[in-house]
Amino acid sequence: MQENAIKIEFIRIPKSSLVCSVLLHGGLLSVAWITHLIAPKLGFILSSPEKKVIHESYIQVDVVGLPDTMMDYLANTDTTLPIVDNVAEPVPDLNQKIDQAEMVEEQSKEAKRVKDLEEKSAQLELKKIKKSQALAMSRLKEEQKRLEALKALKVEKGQAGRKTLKGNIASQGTAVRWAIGEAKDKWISMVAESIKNQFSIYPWQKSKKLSAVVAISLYPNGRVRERKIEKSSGDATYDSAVLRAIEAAEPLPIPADAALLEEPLIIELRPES
Amino acid sequence: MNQVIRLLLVYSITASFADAAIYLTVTGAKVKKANLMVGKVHWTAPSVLSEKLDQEVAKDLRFLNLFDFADQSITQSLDKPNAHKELDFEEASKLNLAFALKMSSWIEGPQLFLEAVLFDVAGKKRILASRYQYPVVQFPRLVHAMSEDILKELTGERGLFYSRILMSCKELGGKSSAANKEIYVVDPDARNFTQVTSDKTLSLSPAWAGNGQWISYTQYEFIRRGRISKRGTVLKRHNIRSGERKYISARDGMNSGASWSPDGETIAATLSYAGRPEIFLFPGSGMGEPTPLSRQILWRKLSGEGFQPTSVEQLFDVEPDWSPNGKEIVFSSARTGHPMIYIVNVASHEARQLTFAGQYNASPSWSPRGDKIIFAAQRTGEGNFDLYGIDPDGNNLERLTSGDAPGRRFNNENASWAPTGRHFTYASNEGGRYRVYVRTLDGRESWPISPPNRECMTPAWSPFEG
Repeated sequence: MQENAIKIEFIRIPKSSLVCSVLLHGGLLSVAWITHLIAPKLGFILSSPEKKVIHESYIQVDVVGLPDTMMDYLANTDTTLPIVDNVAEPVPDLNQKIDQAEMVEEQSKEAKRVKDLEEKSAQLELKKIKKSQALAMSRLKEEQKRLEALKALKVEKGQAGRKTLKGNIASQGTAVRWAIGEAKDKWISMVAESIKNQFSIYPWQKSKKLSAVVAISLYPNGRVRERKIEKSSGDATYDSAVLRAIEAAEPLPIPADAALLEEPLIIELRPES
Repeated sequence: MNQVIRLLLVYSITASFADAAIYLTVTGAKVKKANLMVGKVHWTAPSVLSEKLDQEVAKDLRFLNLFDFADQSITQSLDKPNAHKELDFEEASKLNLAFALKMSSWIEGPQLFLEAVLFDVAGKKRILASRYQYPVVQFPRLVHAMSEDILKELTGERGLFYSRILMSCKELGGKSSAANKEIYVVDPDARNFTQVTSDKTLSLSPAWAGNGQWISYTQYEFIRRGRISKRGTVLKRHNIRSGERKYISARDGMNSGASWSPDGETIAATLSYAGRPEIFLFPGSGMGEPTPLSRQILWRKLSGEGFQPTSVEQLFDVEPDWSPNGKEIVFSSARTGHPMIYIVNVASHEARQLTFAGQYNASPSWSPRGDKIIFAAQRTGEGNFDLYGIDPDGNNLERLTSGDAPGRRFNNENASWAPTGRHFTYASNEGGRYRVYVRTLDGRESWPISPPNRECMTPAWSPFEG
């Protein structure tokens, strides 16, 4: 009887509710099952395949630091050479010391000789020696002037090619001093340096293979007497940049040997070496 | 670029004897932007476009990244209306101008006209005088046409504006599944943002073929192999004009990171069906079997001379990118433990390590000029990714972006060069979510080109599309 009642109770549940319940449960189960299936794949999909890296060491290389400061190189193109104040500074001083030391040595030697000569009362010889002393002094002064000129080349921001200057000065001490070739060499490098410091071009000219050749001659004061484009680059703005550089570099350094001024300077200017 | 300018001193020993002249060579000029006067656009009749056109001109010329701009209040006397074809060179020279751009504009029916004259002050001549005609609504294109002409005239470069940028974007807040990414294309001025794919799946790493007609990308797809169907990556190529699509590779494992050789004859891509990710070369037609590149590589020994063959267990080569001469491929590889950038010669298979610095160097991109490679790198283990540039010979490593401001850290990655070789596009999450930006190499000009309601990455700048 009781069983019968339960059966009746059960049957009394509306059929639609029963169907709904079964469907909902089925749906829930299938969602859970699909999620379970998909979950690991979903994780794989979300991680970008390119960025997946297995760290396996084969040849361990020391980790070097990347530059941590911005190098805005287009903005920095005006300061294209490293500042070498601390490197270049002592070099002229060193040379000066060498010069002075040698001068002292020379002077003391000559003083001794003067003394000897005085003892011998050779006035003529004394005169000669004094003359040579004066010459040596004037050379020393000239050398100091040149060093000052070199210092003057250390223009604003310290971008002047001090490395080259340093090399030139350093080589002076080891070579034969006062040699004509070397003085000329030094002068030419100073001329090139002072033109280069004034030589600026536009961004689009940098990667082009441009080259202009200019012939100039100088007055003894370093001013340009004549200038002429011997070979045009084919780019008018480049040619005018070349002439502007020479104009802006005036007065150019003058050679110790004034005879060099009689020869024309043929200068080729290229954007990059 | 650490620009060490060298002085070459050449003088002839015979000079003083033979023709009595002293020869010297000066090399290493400083680079200075040209001082440009940009006149106002003078209108024959007042127009609502007036201000917009001036703004567009200014924006374009700034992005060329070639000029310094003279103050308009100073150059006013040189920029009188109805006189855009003439310039007082004397006066311009006094004002230290290198170039002057003068413009006049008018509207006839639906058409907008612009006459532009560019003067070379030093050369005292007109170097560009053109008339442009576009529908009024396309006034930015008119300005781009003028800017392209100026760019070509002065630098010989093409395609800063006549080009497009592909990227992979996820829609935010949309109804579609959050994981979906589609390929989009946009102009460098952020206009004409257009959806290319709509496959409702992950579409990644788009790339251009050299001709700008075909593109390729990686997609996640159900692949049917006999009775088994599984989800994996496939590499597709897509004709962006006709919409025609073909598979390049649908092998097991990874099929990704395609890069087309400049002549379009070869595609380099990373496949992992043989076990580990390695670079293969496909014929540009997309048909035919790939030839393995990675496992044939002869590695330059880190110490000492000579090369060593690659052992298969070492393979972990991804993200290939061709050099503009088509002879070399730059890619990233994790063979030394830390992923670093390498360059391989395609013909000889000889490879060398390009970068040694940082923790993780990835996604290299070779400049179309060939003189620089940009890559993304992580300086420290927990650090952010930033973009760095390096010469292909390993010199001049420099930092291009800075995403580690105090208290605010973000990534800059996925660089791709513009056809000019002086601009690039990249992805950054500077604003919270990833967006794609364009930028000048010196970082002076930069703007987002992907819309704010999408998360976009892996941009690819097209070649020049004339």
